Amino acid sequence: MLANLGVSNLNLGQRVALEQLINRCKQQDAKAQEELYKLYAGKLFSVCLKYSRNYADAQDNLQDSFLTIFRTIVQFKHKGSFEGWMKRVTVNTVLQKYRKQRVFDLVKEEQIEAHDELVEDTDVSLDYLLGIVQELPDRYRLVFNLYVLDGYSHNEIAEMLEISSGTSKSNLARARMILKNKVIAYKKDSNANGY
Amino acid sequence: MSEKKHIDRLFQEKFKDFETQPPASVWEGIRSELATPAKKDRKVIPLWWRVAGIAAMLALLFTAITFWGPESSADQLVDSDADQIENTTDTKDEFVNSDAENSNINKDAVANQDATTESSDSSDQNNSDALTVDAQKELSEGVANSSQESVQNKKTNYIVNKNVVNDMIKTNSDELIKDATNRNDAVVTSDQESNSKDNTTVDSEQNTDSQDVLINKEAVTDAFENQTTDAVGVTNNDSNNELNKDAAQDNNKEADSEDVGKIDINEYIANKEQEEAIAQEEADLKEQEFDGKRWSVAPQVAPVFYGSLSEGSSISEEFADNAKSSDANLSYGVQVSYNVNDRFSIRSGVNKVNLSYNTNDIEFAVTPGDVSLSGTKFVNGNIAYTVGDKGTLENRLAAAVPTTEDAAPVTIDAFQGQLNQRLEYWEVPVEMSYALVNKRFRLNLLGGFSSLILQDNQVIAKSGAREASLGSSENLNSFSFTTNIGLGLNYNITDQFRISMEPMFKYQLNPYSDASVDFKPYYMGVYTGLSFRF
Repeated sequence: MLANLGVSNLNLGQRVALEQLINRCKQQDAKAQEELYKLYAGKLFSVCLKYSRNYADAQDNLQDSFLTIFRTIVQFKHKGSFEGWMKRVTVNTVLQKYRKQRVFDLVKEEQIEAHDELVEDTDVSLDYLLGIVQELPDRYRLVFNLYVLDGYSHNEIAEMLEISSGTSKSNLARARMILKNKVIAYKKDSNANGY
Repeated sequence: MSEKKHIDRLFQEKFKDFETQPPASVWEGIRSELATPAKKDRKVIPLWWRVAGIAAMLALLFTAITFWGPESSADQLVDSDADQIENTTDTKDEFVNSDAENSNINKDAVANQDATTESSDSSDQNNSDALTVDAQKELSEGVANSSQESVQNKKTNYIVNKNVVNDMIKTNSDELIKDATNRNDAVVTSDQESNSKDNTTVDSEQNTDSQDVLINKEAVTDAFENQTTDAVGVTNNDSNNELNKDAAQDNNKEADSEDVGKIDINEYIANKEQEEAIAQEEADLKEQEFDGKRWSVAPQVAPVFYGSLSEGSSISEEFADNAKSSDANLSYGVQVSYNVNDRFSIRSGVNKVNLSYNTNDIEFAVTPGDVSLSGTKFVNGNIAYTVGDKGTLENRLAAAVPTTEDAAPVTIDAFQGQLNQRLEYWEVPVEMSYALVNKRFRLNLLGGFSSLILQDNQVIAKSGAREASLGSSENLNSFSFTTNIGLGLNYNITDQFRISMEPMFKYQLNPYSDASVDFKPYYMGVYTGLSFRF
């Protein structure tokens, strides 16, 4: 039964099983911690990969996130989804690391207006997309992830990154521009190879 | 060719089902970190030692002031005060440093308390596990060694920095052993790691259950109304990926560019709920954010010591060079504080302050009738007293009453001892507090002023067991001010309750109406209190 906990749609039995697993983790039961890790490592690693600069950073961030999860799981009150809670802890861990490195204190930059960035609807590999997201400057990457992939509002992002919401919008616009250019370049390459 | 598509949508679709397994080394790292309770002990205890250290230092300081011989006590007060300020700034730095280093650890301190005891139990089990796997032994020893080394390094630093007593060394070596055994287990588990792949395949098989799940959801709605609402929020989003895909494509055509930027409304709602759920966690993860509790009330009590920055005497110039000493007295009251933001607050309140100050090496006597004796005069009811430096009254009497042969000689009954001046004030402070360190543990810089209203004022002459109330000083202002500076150490026990310890230095600006008095009094105290925040 527990094997299915990695999936979010839980029936009553699974919810109870998950709750028991969480409670065992609260007791710092080593076996339960390992079980929890196995259930959620894949999901959270994907979060880390999106928010980090590279694969190695993502591994570090995943490790730190799980350590934080195990250490603060006693505070999880079974309100809301557990998976959502873990994702938030993970995102927070990554943000905190960048906050320490002061990547948010960029010099004042010229703000640009958002406009639609359209690309041709052809298949681009996930690996390539992940790669170009990771290559984005830190703050652009974080804003892009938070807004586009995780649905935070600009106001929320502004608060999380300690920037203004105008800066958040401008960063997003720049991130989109960079990504669009790279997607177009990828298509040109693959078209050229195709001929 | 193909249609144009918004760049956000391209990424959203691609990343929707993105999930990938991390390498096994990540779990090994987590495992070995979790099995190192020593790390917590190493860092958290010193923090408390510092707090205890400050308390001990202050206690020593005040004891020294109180019990140091009456000679040179005025100097003593000044010196020790300077020391205190120096020391407290040092410790302040230490606090800042330790907080920076320990930011993670501090937050987790409470959570780990259990972990420490738990893992010490489990380490025995782990050890036996490890023994059964001979093949892994060599590798695990390698890991254990390196960890031992780093623990050892840290240990040495620790001892050098903190002058740790032998007890602590002993604990550390215990921890080393624990460490080593736990590492063994960490490597062993890498075997079990391969199981995770099996799990994920099972996962995908059981995905077909999702329809059942939907039915269940409805069935359970009544019984678990709240919980299931959450579940629907999340599950709609994650479970129905397949269904959503179609829907999403439809939406895509209709949606205008702003909607495209957003993810599913379900996920947004789910996120909102999670936000609340982790508010508590976040508080411990980073600096304490302002929690909306603007007011706090705290009963406070403090031992206070009275002293002077100069040699003078408030009673008479004659006693300027006499030795002075101070008794420990009590100040108590209530403080009300208003938090402007998470670091800055303004506070006031009302305190009763008792102060006591001794002038030593004096002599006092009831003034013989009709004799104009030089010296400091006090009148209490019908009795007039004269006070002078030790051993001077006899001569003064002789000077004042020339002996004649026919008159009976006038004698004086002089007692040697000390003058004890007792002051009682009502104090209304207005102070500002700024948090230099704003974690669960707070370090505040305090500054402001107090208005003092004189409530009582007595001068008592003491000679051995004999005490005589001489009345009161005439030159005290009934209303005066002090300037206050200090440091505040706070610890949040819960959201509502906070304990505080605040060494304060208060310099009196205009205690005497008599401008000629070269006496610059101050008092200091360590204010401790328990505040209730709301």
